[in-house]
Amino acid sequence: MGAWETQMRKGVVELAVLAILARGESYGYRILEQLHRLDGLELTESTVYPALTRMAREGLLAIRTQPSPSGPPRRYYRLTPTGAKRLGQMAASWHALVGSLSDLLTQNEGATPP
Amino acid sequence: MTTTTMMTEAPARPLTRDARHLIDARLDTIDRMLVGRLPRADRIAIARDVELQIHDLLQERDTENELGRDDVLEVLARLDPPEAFLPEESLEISGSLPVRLAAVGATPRSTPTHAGVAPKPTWHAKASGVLGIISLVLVFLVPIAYMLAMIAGSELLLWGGAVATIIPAFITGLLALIFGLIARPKTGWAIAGSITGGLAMLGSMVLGAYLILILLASSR
Repeated sequence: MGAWETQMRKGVVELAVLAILARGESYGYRILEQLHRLDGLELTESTVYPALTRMAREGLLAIRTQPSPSGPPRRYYRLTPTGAKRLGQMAASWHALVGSLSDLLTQNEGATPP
Repeated sequence: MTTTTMMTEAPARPLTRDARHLIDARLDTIDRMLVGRLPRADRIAIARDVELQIHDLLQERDTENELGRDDVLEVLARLDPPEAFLPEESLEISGSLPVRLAAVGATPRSTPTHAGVAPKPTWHAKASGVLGIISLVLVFLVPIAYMLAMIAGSELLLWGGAVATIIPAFITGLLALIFGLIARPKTGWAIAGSITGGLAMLGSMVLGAYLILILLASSR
């Protein structure tokens, strides 16, 4: 895996987590499982859990704790209005970026190499 | 914003004391990786998410018995090693996201221990350590060469021995100190190299000055 690919994946952690939580509240491991089902992301707990904690600290996520018989209280994360707004902004940027790069790559494929 | 609610889940299968210790050790190591980088509340939150994941993975295991050390080791092998929680700029080996072990039961990249994970020494650190030790050995050879020269009554041996030990001791000590500073004295090798290199430089300068004084005294 190239370094650029690593950076790209790390850059989309926040967007991916916010997008998953837009479907409803969830907890760390379940979010991780949902991310694993997405081809190409391959995000692991060492990336996702710190991101969840950071976003909660920034007010993008709210936390509901629930006692768990199998360990410490389970922390359920959900989007706050600020988080939903950030998701909208990030999604718009993402679509613009993907659109521009796709156009560029399509043009390159049609062009004759020097 | 944090709220607490009550909800029932299936009762968990018990863990042996060994298994519990292994989990605690892993969580402690992750916490140590994050000390100084994240607020305490964030570190606790991350450790709790990891702990819950470990418990969830353990509960998924197909066994009726008490969960033991081997069960926990297999689960831990599926997780990122504690070093993966370090920010990327802190890792000496960069260029990839933490790679999860493909197979359960495969050799873990990091064996959970109660001790923290020491930083891996760079070649600068190792070179510093080796050069530092060599420089110190050379300094100790100076008085031996001096005594042999006195016993033999050979001025050639005296000055030949001095040149062959003091100058290399000073140069290797200087290099050990430079490499140690480049590597930053965080590993045992770099610390040893910086200290022994510095001592060797000091020793070789003192011995060199002493021999020069002898030379000056004998020439009068």
